[in-house]
Order: sequence, then structure tokens, then C-alpha cells
Amino acid sequence: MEKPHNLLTWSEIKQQYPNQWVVLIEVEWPDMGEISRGVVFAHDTNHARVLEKQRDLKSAAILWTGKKRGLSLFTAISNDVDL
Amino acid sequence: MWTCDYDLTEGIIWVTVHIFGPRGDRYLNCILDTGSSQSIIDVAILDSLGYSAQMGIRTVILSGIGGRLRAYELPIQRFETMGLVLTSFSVLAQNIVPDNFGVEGLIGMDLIANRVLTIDGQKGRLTLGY
Repeated sequence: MEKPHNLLTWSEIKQQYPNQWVVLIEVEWPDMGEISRGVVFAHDTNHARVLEKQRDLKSAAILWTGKKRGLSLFTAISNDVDL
Repeated sequence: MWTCDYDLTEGIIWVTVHIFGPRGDRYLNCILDTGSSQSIIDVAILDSLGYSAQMGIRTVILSGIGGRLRAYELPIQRFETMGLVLTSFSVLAQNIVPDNFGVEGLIGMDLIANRVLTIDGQKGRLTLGY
């Protein structure tokens, strides 16, 4: 079956937009495992800028195409005040 | 029961989260973090989904290697991950995303509570029973 225009596999997306954030629409993502395909709506190396670009979308996926890394993690240790 | 393979070479476990808010929904990459008592989602993502600090139910102090941060706890309309569909789940909202880390949230022990999580470090397989 022919792919719709601009619908790319995750491998193609990573190859065409390396080491940056991508906003995907028309996402195909199975319940188990990695995203399979999507259409690139926006891309940027800066997270804040890419969030700005996707603000008006109803539905999307926001993903990093480079190597992912862990964080220095946080633990919630105490309640502060009720809002 | 939900099961999924993960990449043993990455050293950490990534899970897909589908989160819904007043203005839409987003798929995100999150880390499964058994060292975090509560789940945390990047506040900018939550903002773009239509959530705000005014919708928070309390504030929480986060303590980690990098110091202490204040976050607010936010009830999420619908939160899907690891085969679960949750409509009464809360996350902490905080800025946790360095630009080139690729993570937008942490799935903490609050999601695992009263469920059976199995991590097979030989096969690279994650299983959640419920």
C-alpha cells in the first residue's frame, strides 16, 4: 500500500531530522513499542521553540530523534502548602 | 497484562505516554523511574495542553541531586501508558527537560502502586500486571 504524502517511518524521521525535537501529526504508535510512522509538522533543536510551534495542534507527538539520556532524578519528599 | 521490549543498551527504560488535556493530547517519551515517588511531566507540555498552575491541587517540594525545586500537583484528564487508561491520575508539573536529553517526563512509583511490575534485565522486557 502506498504511503500518504509526507508520512515517514520513525527510521526515516530520525535520518532526516537528526538530533532534534520533532512534532509529529497523524501518528501511528502501537500500544506496545516504538512509534511506527508520522508526518513531521515541525522540528527544532530547541525544546521551547518546538513547543511554541505545536501550541495550536489538537493532537501530536513530541519526540527527540537523537540519543536519549537519563536525568538526575527527583523524589517528592514533602507536601508544602495547599493551593 | 501489558508487556513491551526495551533496549538493554540504553541503560534506562523508556515508556510511551499518551496524555490528554483541555486543549488536546500528546504522545511523549518518558523514563520509568522507580527512584521517583511521583510521576513528573514537563510543565511546558502541560501548559500547551491547556493546564495551568491554577488547576493545581497542592504544591510539592522535589528533592534531587540538583537541589530542591517546587512543583505543583495536577489532576490529569486522561493518562495512558503501559496498557493503562487512567482518568484519576495526578502528575507533578516541573521544568525537567534539558534540550538534548529527549525526556519529557518521569513515570514514578505512584503509577506502579498496587500493580505488579516485572523488569527482565536479561531479555529486556517490561511487564505490567493489573
